Amino acid sequence: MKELDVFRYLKKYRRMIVAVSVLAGIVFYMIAQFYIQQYTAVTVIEYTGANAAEGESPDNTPLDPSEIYGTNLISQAMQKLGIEYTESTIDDIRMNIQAEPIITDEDLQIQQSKLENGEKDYEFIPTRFTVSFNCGVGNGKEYPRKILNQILQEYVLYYGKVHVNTSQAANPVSDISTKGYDYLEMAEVMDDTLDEITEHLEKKAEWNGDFRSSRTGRSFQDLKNEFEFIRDVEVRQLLSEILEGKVTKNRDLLLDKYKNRNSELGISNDAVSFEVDKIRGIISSYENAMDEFSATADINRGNNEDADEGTLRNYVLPNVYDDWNRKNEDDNWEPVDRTAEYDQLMMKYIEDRTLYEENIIDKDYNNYVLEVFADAPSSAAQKVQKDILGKIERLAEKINALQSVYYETNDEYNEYLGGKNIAVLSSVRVTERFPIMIFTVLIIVIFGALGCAGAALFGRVEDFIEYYAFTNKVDGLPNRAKCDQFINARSHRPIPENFACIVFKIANLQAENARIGREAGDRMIKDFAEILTSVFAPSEQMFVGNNGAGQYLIFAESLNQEQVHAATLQVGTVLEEKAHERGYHIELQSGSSNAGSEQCYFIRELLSTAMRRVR
Amino acid sequence: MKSKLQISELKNGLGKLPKKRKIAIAGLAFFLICFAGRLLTELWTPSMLMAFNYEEAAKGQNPNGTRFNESDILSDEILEKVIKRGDLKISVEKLSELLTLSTPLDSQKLDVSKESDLKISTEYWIHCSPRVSLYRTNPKTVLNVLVDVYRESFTQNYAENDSILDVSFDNLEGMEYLDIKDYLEMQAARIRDYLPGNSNEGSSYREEGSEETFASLYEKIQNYIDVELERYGAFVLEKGLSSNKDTYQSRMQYVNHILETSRKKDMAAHDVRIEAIDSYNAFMTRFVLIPTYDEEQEFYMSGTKVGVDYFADEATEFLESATETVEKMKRNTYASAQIGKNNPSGQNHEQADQQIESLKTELLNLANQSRELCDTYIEEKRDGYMQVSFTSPSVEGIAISSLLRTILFVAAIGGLALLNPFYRERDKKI
Repeated sequence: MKELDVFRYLKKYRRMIVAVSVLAGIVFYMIAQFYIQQYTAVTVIEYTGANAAEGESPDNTPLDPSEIYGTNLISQAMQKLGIEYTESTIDDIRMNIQAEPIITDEDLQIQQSKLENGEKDYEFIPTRFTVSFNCGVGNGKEYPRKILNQILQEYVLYYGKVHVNTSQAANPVSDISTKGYDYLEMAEVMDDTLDEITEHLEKKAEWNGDFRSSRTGRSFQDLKNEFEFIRDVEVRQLLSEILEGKVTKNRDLLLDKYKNRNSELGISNDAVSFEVDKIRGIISSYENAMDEFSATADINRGNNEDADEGTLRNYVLPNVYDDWNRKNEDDNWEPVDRTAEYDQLMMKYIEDRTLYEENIIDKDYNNYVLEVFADAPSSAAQKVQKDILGKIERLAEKINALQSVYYETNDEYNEYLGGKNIAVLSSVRVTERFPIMIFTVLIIVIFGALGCAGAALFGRVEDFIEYYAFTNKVDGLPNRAKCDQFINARSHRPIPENFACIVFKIANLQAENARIGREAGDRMIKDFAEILTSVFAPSEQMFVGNNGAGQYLIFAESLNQEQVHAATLQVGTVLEEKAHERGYHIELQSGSSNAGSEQCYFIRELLSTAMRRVR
Repeated sequence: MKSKLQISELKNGLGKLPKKRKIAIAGLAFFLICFAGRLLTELWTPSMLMAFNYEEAAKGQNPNGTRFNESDILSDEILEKVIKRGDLKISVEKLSELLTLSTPLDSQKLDVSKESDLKISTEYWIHCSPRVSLYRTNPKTVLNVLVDVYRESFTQNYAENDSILDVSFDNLEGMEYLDIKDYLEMQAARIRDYLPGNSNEGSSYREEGSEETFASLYEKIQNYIDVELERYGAFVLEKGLSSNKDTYQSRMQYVNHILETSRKKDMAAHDVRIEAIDSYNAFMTRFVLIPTYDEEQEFYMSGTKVGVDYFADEATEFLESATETVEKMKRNTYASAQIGKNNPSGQNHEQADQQIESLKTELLNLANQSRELCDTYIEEKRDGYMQVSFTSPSVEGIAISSLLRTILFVAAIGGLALLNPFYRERDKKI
């Protein structure tokens, strides 16, 4: 059997090992790159509002970064990016977004030392969060960046709108002329609306005087001035024209409405005055009760310190600090209202009394309108009505146009507030989640190593099979089965021009066996096989075998007639020397044929020709 | 046939060459192919660097303080405009696939525990695939159009907007003389209020060849309001000028009625609070002293605010509001009375009209001066908001990278050449 030589196996299977390793690498790379690889877009945000360190948004609600992947925001982002539900669903995106707090070692050390120093309630509240989004590579590298950016854009807008700038003036003027109101009512609605808008804008201008929209070019002060001008000049002009001209669609209906308003105000005032009386009663009783506590305290003072202390408890608001220990349903601490009961009573009293007085004043205004329209015609002339309606419509259009500018400005303001309260600390970075190239190289190396080991194992197993099934035990050459296998493999295709077939036969083997013994005969055969393989070195180009019938077959891929002749002579010469040395005699017969010379391109025919020539 | 022969001759020629020379020739060929390939590719498809150079860019914000979104550069909206302007025969989806955006930070892994790792990129690389050439255009043209479109969109949505300086007098038609004064005042105030934003940052800024600064313009506009408009108002009141006396007086009457209602409400609210303060039992405020710290962190006993404090504050506010209302009413009454008692001549109307024209011209002039100053200031300060440049291929860089590849290539084929004799030797031994 052949010796164990790993390099021989490696050499034999090297192409296969390399091919399989590279193929495995390519297959892995393709699968990993297109089905396993993920892109990760990541950024860092920080809540920077005044209450952020206490874990609160500007509207005092707890900071909640999970709002980032709220269904509404994802849906809006998808709409903006034009992502269809067939491409990706809301949950596909939501499940792949993470908002994780950033807690550094320094933060933990501070928390630890605070707790150790007795601040039992101390809890570190993170304000920095990493926000990341993972997705496959199918949609390209830009996709995760676009998604994360758009979601954050929506979140910033949402945060500004919901947690900072929570109010926006309404506009009931938009369809005023279609509602069947009388002209005076329409003008009053416009006047009231503009009152509310200017009041609202005045506050916004106070809070953020520096803000100016890039899209509309307006500041809140500009808008307030414009609304105010329309109200003071145009709406008030319209109102005076309606009152002066006593313009009405239906006088009786209008008068009934104002009479009814007066009745409502009267009813409201009856109820309010009843409540005012009762509150006065409560206040009086409360004062009396507190007087008595005070008297008790005065008597006890100086006589008994304990009693004094007990009385003093009545002077201070009870359980001030215990009251702080109150949690809301979200498990967050919240301060309690500390307004003294007495003050609350007084406030309620003021509220009711003010309402009562205002109702009386409103009633006066209604009476003024009733007085003006008392002697009006039941319905104004059509031309007058048409003129007034035209003016109302033009004015409503003007207010609506300005309102649109205000809404646009406010939207940008929400984005601005969001940007002010949520700082971006790091640009969105898009990275590949897995280092596929490194894994691919590893796969190639692993497959290469496994291939080498497999080649050694397989090669050795092949050696065993070769030895036991295809080797002649006496001379160590391929046996008849191997020769048949070789011939069969070549029998179906033409052989090349220089293909040569040589047949050797030891003619006196039986006689020599009888003469010098079987063992010496075997020795002779071995010597012959050695000489044969040294002259015709077996390789992929050269096959040397024993066909079991005392014939030795040599098939050479590339040997011409002269080379065959020379090799045959060399075998004969070397064999003769060996025989002389060993003391036996070999009678060697040989025959050869060459495909080109014989014009025979099939192995079986060539072999037959060579066999026929053996002598 | 001839070429086949030449190739076979070349093969034969190479076959005869010694191994070292063969490897050297293969290496040189490999180097030249790599070098030329990279150079031509980069010349054909240069990358574009978009650098945002305004102050807020480093905070991840747009110039107007909103969040900066770099994905907007390649948004569908922008790409649609690019296709339209460049007359490209390609769909938005396809163009989107061919354009990529990256930042220098993309290649760095983010370590959130390191403060130094938290960076905001102000530069973005935009690359257009050479495959865009299949659509009868080339990468550089597409990138150029993209920059133009994005710059316009960026300026429109996020940059300083001075449209407030566009003064319009269309509404003045048929307006009352006194209302014209208010309208012009409103317009002047808009221009004036636009300036301080710039004034705070660059109070000393002065346009080259001009004496005007933001502060001087601010003063001019204020003078326009305080002096010129005031003078016009005085003239109108003195002469009792009105486009329609009856309508104006009627309006003033109605406005005063509304103001009177408002005044009464304010006074009622004020009176109710005074009533509450009067009835507030002084005894109830005796025990509200608490230990606390003052603004200088000194310990002292503080009286907490009690109801009466709030009621007094509110009463004062209502009183102030009522006082303002009374003042407005008085002005309205005066204006109405002046217009009612005088009978202005046609000459007075002409004089007023001339004054209005002069005021309009003056205001336009102020608006133009403001715009000119603001524009040059913003141009200098913002420097176009972004700088764009195209990469020119670095010959040295490409040569070095090609050389490295060639070394690997030569090492591989050299290794094979070295191992061959070893295998042959083994074959012989076997």
